[in-house]
This record gives sequence, C-alpha cells and structure tokens, in this order.
Amino acid sequence: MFERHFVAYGVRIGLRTDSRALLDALEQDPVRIPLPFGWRMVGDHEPDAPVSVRYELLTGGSGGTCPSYRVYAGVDLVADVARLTDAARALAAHAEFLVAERAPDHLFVHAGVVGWEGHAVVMPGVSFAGKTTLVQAWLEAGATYYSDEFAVLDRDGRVHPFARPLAIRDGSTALTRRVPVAALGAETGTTPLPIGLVLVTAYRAGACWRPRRLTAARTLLALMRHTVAARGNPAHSMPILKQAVSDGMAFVSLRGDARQLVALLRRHRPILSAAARRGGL
Amino acid sequence: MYPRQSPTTHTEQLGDEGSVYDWARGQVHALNPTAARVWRLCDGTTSPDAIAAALRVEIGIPEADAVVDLTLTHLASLHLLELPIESRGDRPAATRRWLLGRGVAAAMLPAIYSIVAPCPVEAQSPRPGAPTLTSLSPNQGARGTTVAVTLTGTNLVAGATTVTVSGSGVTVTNVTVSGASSLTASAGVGTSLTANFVIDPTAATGARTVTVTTAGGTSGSLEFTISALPGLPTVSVTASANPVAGAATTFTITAAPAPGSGATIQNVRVTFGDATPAVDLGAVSGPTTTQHLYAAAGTYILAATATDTGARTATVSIQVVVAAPGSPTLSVTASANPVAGAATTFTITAAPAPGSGATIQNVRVTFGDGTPAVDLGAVSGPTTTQHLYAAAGTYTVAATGTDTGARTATVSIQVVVAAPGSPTVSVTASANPVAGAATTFTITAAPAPGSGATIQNVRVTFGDGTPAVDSGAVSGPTTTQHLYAAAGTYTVSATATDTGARTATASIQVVVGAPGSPTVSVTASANPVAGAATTLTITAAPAPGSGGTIQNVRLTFGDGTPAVDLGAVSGPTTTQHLYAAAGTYTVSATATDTGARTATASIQVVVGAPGSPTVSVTASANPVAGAATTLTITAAPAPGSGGTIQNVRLTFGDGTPAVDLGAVSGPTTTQHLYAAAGTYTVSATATDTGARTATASIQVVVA
Repeated sequence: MFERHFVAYGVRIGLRTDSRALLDALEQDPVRIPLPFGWRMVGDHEPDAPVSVRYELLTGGSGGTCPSYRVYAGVDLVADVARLTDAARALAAHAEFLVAERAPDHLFVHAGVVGWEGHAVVMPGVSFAGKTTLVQAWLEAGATYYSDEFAVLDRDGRVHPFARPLAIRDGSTALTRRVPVAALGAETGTTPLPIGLVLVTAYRAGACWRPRRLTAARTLLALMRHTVAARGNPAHSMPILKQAVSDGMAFVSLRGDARQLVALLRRHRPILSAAARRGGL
Repeated sequence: MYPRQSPTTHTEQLGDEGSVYDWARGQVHALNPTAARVWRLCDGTTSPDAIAAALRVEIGIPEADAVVDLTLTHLASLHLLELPIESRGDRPAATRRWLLGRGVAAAMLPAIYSIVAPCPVEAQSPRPGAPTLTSLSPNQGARGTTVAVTLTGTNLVAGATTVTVSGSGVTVTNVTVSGASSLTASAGVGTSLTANFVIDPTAATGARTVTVTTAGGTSGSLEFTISALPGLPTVSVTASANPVAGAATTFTITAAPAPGSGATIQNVRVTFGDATPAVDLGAVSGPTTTQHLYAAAGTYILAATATDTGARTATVSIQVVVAAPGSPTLSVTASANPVAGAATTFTITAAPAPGSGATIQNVRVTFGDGTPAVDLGAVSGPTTTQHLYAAAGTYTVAATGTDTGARTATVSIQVVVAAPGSPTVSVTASANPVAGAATTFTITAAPAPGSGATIQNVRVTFGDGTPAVDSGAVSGPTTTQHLYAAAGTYTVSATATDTGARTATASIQVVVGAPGSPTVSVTASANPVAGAATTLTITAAPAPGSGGTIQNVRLTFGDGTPAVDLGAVSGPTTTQHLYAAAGTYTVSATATDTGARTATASIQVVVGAPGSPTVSVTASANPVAGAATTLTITAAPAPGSGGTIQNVRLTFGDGTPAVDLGAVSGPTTTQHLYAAAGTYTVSATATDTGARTATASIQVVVA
C-alpha cells in the first residue's frame, strides 16, 4: 500500500492506494484526477501519523472482471466505479464535506459568495436554491468569485475563497458540469473579505424581490441554518458567526430572475451605501 | 429560586440582541432586545421584579412586570431556564394581546426565533418538509419513571430532530432517528425515532402534547399522558398470640401489589429485631407464614418489607412482646355491643404459667380512653370489671397480669363502643272508639338499653287539632284519655324523649265511629209455669257516648195480653207476668233512649203446665202390735199450681178401712193400731183442689 498525507483547512487526511502508479497520477494529473479543493500535500506522511480520516483508493472491481476503482473512507465504502475520474470526484465530494465538518479554525456555511467592492456578498442556501445562478449573475456584473458552495469563515468572521469551478446545472436536472470561473470572464478572489451583505433568498419563478431586513441575531440564525458544523460545538461556531454578521446588512426575500436582482441591488446605492458606512458595502 | 439560564446554553451578544445556542436540544435562538435583556438577567440571583425594574429603567418599557412574565414564560417553554417558572399568583398570566392593549409597542414585546441546528447533511441539502407524527408508543407513563418511546412519522431527521413534551417535568433524552439512509437523496431523513422520556417525580399528571421539530418545521402533536406513580404495595404482619422465648412464634405476612400497578410481589424480607439474619420469603401471594424463635424474652421490632416487580417497597413493623417462659397467661373479652354511657363489662382471665408455682398478684386494666388504670389485685380465674365509656369510639383495652414472680403478660383488645340508642315508644287505642266518648290510649315508652337514660317526657298528639298532651317522665305503660268530638280517622303520635334528649316517635291511626243505639236485653225466670207468675228481667242502657238515657222500655209478653211500658229505667229492671196456660211465648223488650234511638231484644219463654201435689208419710219408731203406731203425713200442693190439698186418704195395709184426713196443710199425724205383728204397707194419697193427686207409701214392720 502507498500512502500520502494532505492538509485542508487544518484537517489532516491520509490517502492510501494499492497502486504506486495511481498515486503518482494523483500527484501529477490534476486535470484528469483532481484532488479535493484546498488539499495540500504534506511531507511527513508517515503511515502512523494521526489523521482525521484515511481514504483508500483501491483498484480492481468488486466483481473481479471489469477494471474499477473503490473508494473507502475508513471502512465505509464511498464509491465503486469504473472510471478513475469518477472515483476522484467521489473522493473529492466526500472529502470536501468532511473537511467542512471538521475544520478546526474555519466555519463552512453553505452559501454562494462573491466579492464586491472589498466586501463579501454571502448568499446562504441549500442545494437547488439557486446559489450558483445568483453567483453567476454577480460575476457577470463584475463581482469577483469566491465560492458557489461554501462561505469559509475564519475566526474573525472573514470569508475565504473556496473557488472551485462553478457547478452549473444543465436545466432543471441535478447533473452539473464544472465551469472554471475564468470561462465566465470573472476573477477569483484571493484575500479574505468581511461580510457586507447577506442575501437570504431562493428562486421562485415569477417572484418579486420584497426584501425584509434581518437583524444581526436573525442573520446569525440564517447562516447557522446552513452551517455544516452547526451542531455540537457552539463555542466554535457562534463566535465566528457573531463576527461575520456584526457589520453587514442582511435581507430576506424570494427572488425571481437573478440578473434582475443583482441589477436592482446595484441600483439601490443608498442601501448598499448604508451598509458600507456601517463597515459593509 | 430566581430565573437562571440553562447550563446547556451558549450565548452571544449581538448589540442589544442575543443569540443562544442550546446544545442539549440542538436549537439556536435569536432573541430580540427585550428578550435578550431579560435573558441576560436570568442569572439566578435577580428576581423577576428586579428584572422588570431594570427594563423600566433601561428601556422604558411600560407594564414591565407583565413583559418579564411573558418573556420568562417563553424562555421556559423553550427549556432555556434551569427550572420551570413558578406562577406568580398575584396577577393573571400576561399575553401579547393584553400587553398590546395596554399600549406596549410591539417592538418592545419579547420575540424569540428558533431553529434546529442542522446536521451537516441538512446544512447543504434541500430541507425536508415539516415532520409529521403518526404514532407514539407507549403514549403514557408514570411520574418518576423513564419511558422509552417510539415515534413514527415522516421527515424525521437523524441528528437534527428535537422532541418536545409540553409542560414541565419531562426531559427527553437519547433521541435516535431510524429508517434513515446516509447515502441516498433523502439522506438522514427517517420515519421513526426512539427517545427516552424522563418523567420527574413532581411532574404534573395529565395529558401532554408531544411534537417533533426539525429544520423543516414542527409536527402536529400526539398526546402523552402522565399518570401518578403506581401505588406502593401493601404489607401487613401479625404474630401468633402470646409469643414465648424459646418457642416458635408464627408470623403471618400478607403482601399485595398496589391495585392497578400491574406488579406482583417479588419478595418479602422479614427482620425479626433480634439481630438474627433477615428472611426473604420471595414472591408471595396472599397471606404467608413464617416462624421465628426468639431466644430471650423482650420486646422486638419485627419489620416486613414487601418489594414489587416495579421495585416499589412497603414496610410494616410490629412490636413483638416475647414473654419469658413461664409467664402468666391472660385474656380479656368485652361484653357484647358496648354502648357509650352504659357500663361495658370486661372479663379478664389471668392464670399463672403452669408449673410456675406463682399466682396472679395483680391485673392492671387500662381502658384506652384516658381514664386511670384499674388494678384488679390478685385474681384467680375469670374476673369481671365494668367500665363506662363516655363517648362512642374504638378503644384499646389492655390488661397486664403480673404473677408473684414479677413475670408479666399483657393482652389488649379493641373495643368498639357504639353511641347509645334511641328510646322506644308505642301507642295503642282502646277498642271501638266512638265520638263523644273518651278513647283510652296506652303509651309504652322505654329508654334504650344501656343508654343509662330515663324517659323524660312523652308528648301525645291526637290528630284532631287539640293541644298535645305531655305525660312527663313515665316508666312502663301509661294511659291517657281523649274525647273525639266527631267521628273520623285520626293520627295519634307519641314522642318519647329520654334524658339524653334522644327521641322516638310512634304513630297510629284511630278510626273513631259515630255514637251507637241503646242496648237492651231480657231474661225470664227459670221454669215458668202456667198459672204462676213468671219474672222477667230487662236490662236497658244507652249507647256509650250517645249522651242519652233510656226513656222507656216496652214489654210485650206474646200471650195477647197488653204490652207494659216500664218507663225510664236504669240498670236491670224486673216485672212479673202470669201466663194462663202452658205454651211457648215470645217476650220482646224495646228500649228507647232520649235520642229516640231504639233497641229491641226478644226471647222465647216456654211456660210449663202446673205440677202435682206432693205427699210423704212416716211411721213412729218401733211399732208394736197392739199398740198405736203414729203416722205423720205431709202433703202440699205443687208450687205454682195455685191449688191447695183438698184431702189425704190413708190406707194401713192391714185390711182396715182407709182414713180420709180431709184438707190438710203441713204435717198431719194420725194413729193406727195393728192387731198383729207383721209388715204392712201404708199409703197416703193427697188430692189438691185441681184434682191432681200424689201418693206416697212406706212399709211398717210391726213387732
């Protein structure tokens, strides 16, 4: 068995394979076999070094006839697929989620994030809420890209980039394709930003934007609703969320077309300016 | 105790707002400024009044007391306070509507927004719909128990479902959602969950509502009923009589589970109070006996502890007085049906232990009513003593016998003394009461046996509106008379009252008749004879109560002779009548009283024919031939014949001519000389003026 150790957002991860060639491919062919976002290989990959989780990527199908790849997280089977690319994606999806749950110094909130005039616009929501669409609309309007999946908050409440390629759905299906942000003509943020605006919204066809402002406490509640590590350690999550919501503004409403909403928000300079005066936009 | 924040909370202050994380329930709450201010002051040392004062000063909230009450109630309902808020009984519970009506701005009212902190899957997945509940099993539990329940429904999220039981006193633990997958699209969403309901012993009984809350919302409710703790089992123990050291004493233990507890008795442990090991009787049902041998005389505390299958216990202890060997024996009995105020007789039988060589020196009796004990002294065999209980009740009578060796034995009984009974009374009326005549009532009243009382008074009411009559203290049957003015049915009541003011009443109905007709009767003298006067006796009387007198009695004799009016008579009256000829005649007497009421009585009189005369003859003693013999003839007409003796003819039997003595009255003598000795028949024939004859003969032996 061959093993490498990685670190992502303070979480140490072991990756063990039964093929040296496979391990080399992981290290050298990030296009075909992308590592999970944020993974950084560490040198002291002693097999006995403690890890938060150890993945195994094994070759050979369970039926023994067709070539296949199996991914294990500990003893749990995560994927049993025919293509190495699919195995790598399964590993990435599982690992990103695990990191989001266990990151010791960051708090992962499901949200789309863009940078706008030095502040982060955070749009929390579950999958299918239209986060990526709204992020895309902001990018088209000139915002910088931070994430379409997670608002990664540090202990000061600032948002760090989680700038993996956008997962754009085809139509109404759940099938996504990864689109690099560069393909959208936008730039990716590189520095952590304070939150200036929180938009608690979800798409509904034909809906009008009728914003209701949220207080800081209710904004915290809205972010907590989409925080991966919300349960179990309030001493970790609550101070971070408090810092995150302390200066920005937050609105809640259903929305219709994403571009129209972004255009509307950009036209309402007084609101955005007020946020800016308070330290936000 | 003042309101205190639950120790399972983490609070972040956001300006004047608050954000509270309750990790015991996995909930996060946003508190508006009012709620946050109250929350900050829930430190266990600040009273609600002080919190209200702070709100008045800092925020200027009117009706601050009610606002604080409302906020605390809301916080308590979310389980954010350490203990349930006690009701402040001096004013009604505040409501938002009431406060708005009192002019409190809506923004000043407490507002708390809550979510269930999501699990990682929930945080990114489309939120499942609001949970639903379809069943709860079991749906009841007793105070002081922990009930493992299963809830079924939909949209139950693993790790992110909160189970809430309304009210206070029920803590929900170990919530586990099952039927959830970790790899499917509905990851973490299950259809059933298990949880433990820890029911506080002080939880209020009754129906509660159970809801579950997830990030998708809150379900409808199901009912869970909290019942009182199952009752404890019961146990009782009795010891055999007169336990003696060195001999087995038998104990009867009766243990039973509490009705409705569904339990059974799992064990009964008996300790005998003499340092010997306890005895476990195991599972028992109904009375069970066990024996124990006390080594020495003394008083021991025996304890029996019954434990049911629910681990509930009940213990009973009794004192066992174990006598030394050879102690006297003692028994005491009470007379039947003891009554307060009457003497109760106790029979105490004390005897020294056989072979002890002792005698009973004294028996002390205590009666259990606080009166001094009585020492009966040296007794032999059954001895009685009497005691008077002043009041009804149950008393413990104890007798302690002491023999000349100073050994004692004690026995006690319980005497149930009843309250004295009521007196008795009865009333009867004389027969055939008639209006206008006195009716006699006999009242018999007596105090209740054993009451120690006497009859103080008997009051009689006659039912005709006349005043009641008090007979005063009576003893035995007592009579009183009453005159009813008119015929009718009357209710006569007699109420006896004894010296204890206890009463008894007896009532009868008296039918008073109208006054009747006079009465009359007639009788004739014996053997009436034609030609001789027959005496008739007429007795006439007015009817009792009629107020009249006999005005006349008319007599008819049945022989065609005129009727005779006797006029006003009183009592028996006689009159004579002479029937001319023998025959049967109807004599009628008609009495008429001054009210013109009449009564007639008739008899038949059989009048006989007149009888023959009578005659007898006697001779002088020792008649001798040749000497005159004197013959005495007595002839008389028949009584009532009206005749006289016209002649008596005498024949001497010796052939000499008869001699006619003529009309004689009374005894008549004549002399005759027999010529020779011999026996001669002398005959005398009397003839009365009615030509009726009679003859008498004698034999005369002449010497």
